[in-house]
Formats: sequence, C-alpha cells, structure tokens
Amino acid sequence: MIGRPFGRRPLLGAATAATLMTPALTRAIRAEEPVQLLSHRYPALEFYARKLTTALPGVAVDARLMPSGEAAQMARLALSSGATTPDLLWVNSTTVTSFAKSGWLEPLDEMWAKHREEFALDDINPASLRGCSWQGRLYALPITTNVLLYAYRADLFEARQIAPPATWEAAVAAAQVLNTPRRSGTTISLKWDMPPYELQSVLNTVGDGWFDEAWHPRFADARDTAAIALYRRLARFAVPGYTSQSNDENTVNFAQDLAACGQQWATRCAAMDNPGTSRVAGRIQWTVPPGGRQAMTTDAYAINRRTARDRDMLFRLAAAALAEQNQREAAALCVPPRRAVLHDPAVQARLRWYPAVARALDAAEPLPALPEFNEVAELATKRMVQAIVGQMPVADAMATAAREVTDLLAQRGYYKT
Amino acid sequence: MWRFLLPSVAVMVLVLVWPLASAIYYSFFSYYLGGGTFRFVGLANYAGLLAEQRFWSDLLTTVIIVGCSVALQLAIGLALALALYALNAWVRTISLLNFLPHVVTPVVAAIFLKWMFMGRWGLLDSILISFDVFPPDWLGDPLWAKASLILADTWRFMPFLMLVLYAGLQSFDTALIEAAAIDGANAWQRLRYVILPMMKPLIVFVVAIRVMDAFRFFDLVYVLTNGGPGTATETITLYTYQLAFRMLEVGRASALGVLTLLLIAGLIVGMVLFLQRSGREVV
Amino acid sequence: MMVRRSRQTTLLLCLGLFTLVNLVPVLWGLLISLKQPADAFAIPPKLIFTPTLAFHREVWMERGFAGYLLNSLVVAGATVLISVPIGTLAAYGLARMHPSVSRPLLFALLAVRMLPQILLAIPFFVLARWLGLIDTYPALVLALVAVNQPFTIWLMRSFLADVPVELDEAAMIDGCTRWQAFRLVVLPTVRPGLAVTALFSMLLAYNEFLFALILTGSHTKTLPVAIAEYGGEDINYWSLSAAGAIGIMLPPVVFIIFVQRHLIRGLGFGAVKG
Repeated sequence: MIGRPFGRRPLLGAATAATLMTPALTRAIRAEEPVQLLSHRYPALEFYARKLTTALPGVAVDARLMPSGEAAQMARLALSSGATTPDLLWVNSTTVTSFAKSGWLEPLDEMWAKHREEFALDDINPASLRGCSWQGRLYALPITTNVLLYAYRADLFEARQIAPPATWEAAVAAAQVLNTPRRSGTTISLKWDMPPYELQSVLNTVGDGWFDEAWHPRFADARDTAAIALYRRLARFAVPGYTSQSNDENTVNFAQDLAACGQQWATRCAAMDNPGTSRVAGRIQWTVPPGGRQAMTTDAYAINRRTARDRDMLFRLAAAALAEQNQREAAALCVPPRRAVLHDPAVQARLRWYPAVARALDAAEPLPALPEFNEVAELATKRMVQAIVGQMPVADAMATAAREVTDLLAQRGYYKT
Repeated sequence: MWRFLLPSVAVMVLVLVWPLASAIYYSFFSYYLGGGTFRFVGLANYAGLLAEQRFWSDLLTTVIIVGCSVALQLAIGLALALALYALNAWVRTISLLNFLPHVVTPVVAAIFLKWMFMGRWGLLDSILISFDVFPPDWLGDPLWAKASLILADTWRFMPFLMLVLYAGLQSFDTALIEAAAIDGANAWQRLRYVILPMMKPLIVFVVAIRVMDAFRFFDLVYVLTNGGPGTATETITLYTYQLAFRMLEVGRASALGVLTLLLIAGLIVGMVLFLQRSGREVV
Repeated sequence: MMVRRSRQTTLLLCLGLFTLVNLVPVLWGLLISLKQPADAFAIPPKLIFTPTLAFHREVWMERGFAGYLLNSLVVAGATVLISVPIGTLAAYGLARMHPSVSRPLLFALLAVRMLPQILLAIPFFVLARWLGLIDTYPALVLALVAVNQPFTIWLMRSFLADVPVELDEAAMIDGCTRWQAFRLVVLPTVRPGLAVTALFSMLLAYNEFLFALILTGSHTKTLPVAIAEYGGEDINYWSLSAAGAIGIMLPPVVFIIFVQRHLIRGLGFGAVKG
C-alpha cells in the first residue's frame, strides 16, 4: 500500500466499510437464526455444546465457548443490558443464584413438570439440582456436578505406610512427612480469580463455615481463624507459586510428580490417568477430602428470560442434549447428573475414580447459596490468602474479612430487621 | 486547515464520545450491575476511593512497577540500539528477531511468560532444579513477584524502544560523533556528551508513550499473578477490573478509571512543563 | 584493522547471545506446541522428543482457526485502511496549525488513550447492541479505528512536522490547491512514516483482545479471541493455544520483513522531533 497516490484511499476506505456492512444487513434479513449458546469451555462442555447442535432436528445452534471468567463476564454484560441473546447460557451454582436474583433467568419448574417423563428427568441427582435452584425455584438444567476430591499418590502413601488423612490435622502431618525438595508434600491452588472452593472443606470442618443463619460472616470467630491458621501450616509444604496457581497448574503439579497429594476436581481425574498428559498415570488414588463437606458445583444450562425464542423449544433442546446416552459417552469427562450413569457398574469399572466420586458427592456441601457470594469471595479470599502467605496475622486478616463482608452485605440490603 | 481534521474527529466523536461520556457519567452514580441499582451519589465514589488504603497501595505498586520497568526497558533498549548502531553486519536480522516479542499477541505473551516463571515446572525453575538448585518463588514472593512482572513487561516492550531509538540514531548527523572522536573523546564521553543529548527529545517521547501505556498494565498481571500474593502486585487497572467485573460496581470502577486518567494526564503535563522550563520543545 | 574486526565479532556474539535469550519464551512456546503435554512441562526440560504436529493440525483444520485468521486479517486490514488515511489528514492539519491551537488538541487526544479500556468496553457493547452491530465487522473496525486515532495522529504528525512548510507554500504558489499540495507534494515525502504508522496500527488492531471479545461473535471472531478461548481449563488446551500463538505471529512477521527497509528509515525520520 506504500507508494500509491493517496486520493484513492479514503474512497477505498469507504468502499471497504460499505462491503463490511453487508453481512450485517443480510443477517438481519435471514429468517431463522440459530439458537445462541454462551458457555464455559472445558472438554465436557465442548462435548455437550456439540450434542446440542444435533439434539433437535431443524434447530441450529451457534455455540460460543470460553474460559469461565470471560463467559460469566460476557453473560453479565449481555443480560444486564437486556439483550435477547444468548438464548441459552452456562451457569454454575454461584452464578445461577446471582443471575436469578437479578431476574435474568427463566424459571423452569413448569417446563420441568411438563417434560418430566419424555426426558426421564426423575433420574437426575437431587444433589445436582440443588445447585440449579434459588429460593425454591429451578433455573437451570444440570450438565455435570463437579466435586472436589482428595487426590493422593497411592505408591508414596503405601511406602510410608500412611493412610489417606481423615482430618485436616492429619493432612498437614502427611504433607510434612512426604515433603521433599523436589516433590512437595501437597499442592494447593490459591490464585485469587475464582471462589475459594479449596478452602470450603477446612472452613466447614475445622472452622464453623462461612455464615450464620442471618448471613453474618463467621470468619472472625475462633474456629474459622483456626481453620485458616491450619491452612497456613499446610502451605509450608505446598508447591511453590501456589498463589499464582489454579486448577490447570495444580493438574500439572500432579502430572509432573511434583506433589504427593492435594484437593482436585473430579473433571481432572481423566487427565491424571492418561499417559499422554501425566507422568504418574495409574499411581494416583482418589478419596473424600479430610472430613468431607468440601466444595461441589454444578454446571448447567439456563434460559435467558428475554430470549426471543420459544422457551419450550429451548428447554427441550437442553434436555435432549442431556440424554442418558450422551451422559454415558461423556462419563470420562465429567460427573454425570444422571444416577443411572453415575452408579452404573460398567462405568465404575471403566473409570476407576468413580467410586470415590460417588462417595465425595454424598459428603460434599455446596458453597453458600448467596447471590452475592462471588463478591463476598472476592473480598474474603484476598484476606485469607494474605493470612496464608503470612502477609497479615491470621486473626487480623479474618477480622478484616468479616468487617469488609459485613459492610458489603449491609450495602446490598442484608441485616435489615 | 480544519477540514483536514474532519473525518478523524467525526469517527472519534461518533464512536468514542458516548462511551467516554458514559464512563464519566457513571462515576457519579452508585451503579451495581448485579441488582440494577442506579442512584446519583455525587462525588461519593471518588471520596470513597481516595479514603481507601487499597487505592493508595495499588497506586504505589503501579508506580513502582511502571517506574522500574520503563527504566529497565529504556536501559536495555538504548544499549541494544547503540550496539546495533555500532554493528556492521546482520543488523536487520538481529533487530527483527529482537522485535518478535512485541509481535506476540498479548494474551499469549502472558501465557508464554507464565511458562517461564511458574513455580517448579516453569522453564526457569525446571532448569535450576535439574541441578538441585531450589530457586525462590518467582510469582509467590511479594518482592520476586514484582520483579518478575517488571521483567515480563520489559520483555514485551523493550523491542518498541529498541526500534525507535535505533531508528533515531540512524538519522543523526554522524559528523558530530566523528568530530568528537577526532577530538580524543573516548567511547563513554562520546555517549555521555554527544549521543545522549542528541537523543534526549526522542527518549522523552518514547518514555512518555510507555509511561502512559504502562499505567494501564493489565494482561500480564492478570495472567501471571492476578495481583497476588495478597495484593503485592495489584495495580490500579487490575483493581478497576475487579471493581467492574467481579464486584460489579460499575460506578466505582468508572470513578477509578477517571482518577487514573487524571493522574496520567497530570504526570504527562508535568513532564512537558518540566521539559519546557529546561528549554526543550516537546510538542 | 584486526582490533576492529575482533571487536565486531565480540559485539555480534554478545548480541546473538542476547537475542537467543530474548527469544527463549517464544521458542519454548513453539516447543510446547510440538510436544505431548506430559513432556511439555517435564523436569528436567525435555529438548529431545518426538515432535507432534497434532495440535497445529487440530487448531487450523478442526477448530476453525483458519476462518478466525481471515477475520483478523479483514479487521486489521480495514482498520489500517481507514485509520491511517484519516489519521494522516488530521495529523497534517495539526502539523500546519499554530502550536497554540494544536497543542491543546494533541493533549486532549491523549486523554482517549489514558482511560482504562475496560471501562469503554461496557458502553461499547451497549452501543453496538443498540445499533444491531454485534458480531459484524463494522462494529469492531470502527471501535479500533477510534481507539487507534490518537496514536496514529501523534505518530504521523511527528513525521509531517519534519516536512518544511516551504514545500507546501511553493506548491501552492505553483497553482496547487491545499489538498493537491498535501496529496502530490507532502505525502510522497512521508511514505516511510506511513509504513511505520501502518505497522503499529496493524499490530494494535490485529492483536486487540478486549473489544474483539465483546463485539464479535461466531461470524467475526478474531484469532486472539479464539486463542484465549483455549487459555485454560484443560491441559491439552494449553498446547492448542501455543500452536495458535505460533501461527498468529506469522502474518505480522512476513509484513515486517516486507516493510523493514521503510520501517527503520521511517522511524528515524519521524520520531526524532516527536
């Protein structure tokens, strides 16, 4: 483009602009738009997005999949500005309450009742449905219920004659014994870009949970403080860099033989047992995290309340994608919400982490069903991490967290008598 | 003359005025994206931020990271430019190869750098550990995390400075430098008394551009440390992002954005005034 | 003479070594895109392995990256074609105005560049949706042209300010209009400057992520957005994004090799008096 006379260029620019406009116009004229799906992306959700495209004859689906942070951000942007698309969107246990409270999602109870038999919806795990509801109404169809497991190197535990820990105190002891310069005692992942799923179990079993009945935070009390103090001791045996690590880095820590144990999501088990991605395939075992009551979350499809499409069709589309046959196919990628698949002996035999997953699901406890939980976590996790890395005394950090969260929730209209 | 400005101004007015104005407008409101609250609060957002300890500590962190990384990239960029200038062969290849880091898409550059710095299995650690050296926690130690970010930013933007400064050197009158050499000035003296003074306006230009952009330092922090450990590497822009997209407080986030704008504007105007006083035309 | 030559060799060696170190992150990314994930992060780092092109093939053939590359090229091309001409016009206007008029305007322009972009994202989205332009090229191109204007104008102005006013005046005495003087006399002298400005505008538009994420959809998605979709959540995705990252670099590199001669000269002319 260098060296041509310049006068043509504005013309050229205008022509380009005009050409570029045409797709917009033609698209507006086109009769039947595909259903727009906005979803988080990981292999299981990719699988279901693909199944959606063929779930109902004559219904095309245009899927946009991206990492969870961006997907939630895009959903908020679209829904808060009153957009009619996406028609279908991915939500999880935390965002579903937040979106439902804002009035952005279509309640599904009636459609559920109507299509119950056609899609065998009674088979869906009640634990999974819990993460799709808010104030007694159903807002989403569960795709997978992910749950935290305690993953450990069976070979190392056996050699040292250590049993999988039943308490968090025992977990610290195990991490200490197994800690070597090259292979850390445990892996933890506290990159502060998601809710602190990992702290759920220790806060629930050593501590006394997040909130009391009136949503007053309990962080500042003796038990929650003790829980974070314990995690601080555990962190001394963790793989370095844990404040910048989340699930991906955690998975590499296991896969490269850098950690002896730690919490890990059920969706990551397949990668751990695959020699193409893991150097310790076959040597990892899974069980319930010490004391249980660990985090679980449900990934689900919800319907945009302002969609221009037929809601019943959207419901049938999602329900058809979640058919038993599809869930069986996807069993290696995620934990199916259908009990027929979860408890199927053939699946349990093929995927050796399934018995542990079934037990873990019974023991797990979802994060508090507070629509503002993401915001609470944003404040509280930062303080807890500051305590764990030693930037702040634990008691101070927890008191600060309690104060900040109380202020936030008061602003959002809580605690009015 | 004004007619020449028309197309450009038209596009900017068309596209930017509304978004810019609405960002400023929002900053006077309590605007919560989650529940749709939208209430006029006057200057409360600004007052709230200025009273926050977090705002000031983020500002300090930003200033430290920006200051160190711009200084470092200027030093390396200048050294490289001078070296390229002194080199007789392979100049184009070497300058092109060193420019590559600047071509890498920012989202990916951050991931590439994460694969360098990550604890244990990052390239840096994995080499050292193979020799049984156990290095510090590059991204998890408050001090090292800052240093890593400075290095990361330097890697991304040093090529820009190198290229501009090298091109500047090319266009200078070589007679002056040769005259100095004949007068017996050694290499250091030639640099200090001839070359650097000649390059001063150019250096000011690139430093101003970099300071302006570095204040909005975002992608790298977001991917590498997300402000951690704790808030050790939290910059102003990261805080803006967290306010807007995590806390959903669009009003406060907008106020923070406007504050950032005012700060940088003040900085740049200050720089220009200082230079004008010392007798240099900048614009 | 001998001293000189050995000095040159030392310099070349040092520079070569520095270049190598400087390129390590890119080279390591390239290696990761060619390895199985189990080998990619092994300790000690594996330099000898059986390379696989599976991830490269997957992104370009199966995951539609070729189409996204086309989108990126269209968006970057259109942005440069609109942004550079109108920016050059404005820069010429500013360069020929009295400083007391142009100086405040130039600083006002910079303000656009100082606001954190994430704050522009929300209004941009609302505006584009209101106009029905989401997932069309014009939305993204217009946004990129607008945010690129300040940089384009500043850079071009510094080139145009170097062209003596006497040149325009002479042309106008010879009977040219102001427009003809600009087009026929001034513009040809700043061609290298145009190359530089085009390059940086192109890089900005081609690599832009945030606006592209918000304003595009499956018809117009650009490559950086597509790559970021594989930013994590599965270890294989990292290999895919590394493969995409290597691919996305090739077009700009080819472009730079093409314009390199202009580039160095152009930067030299222009930025000096910046």
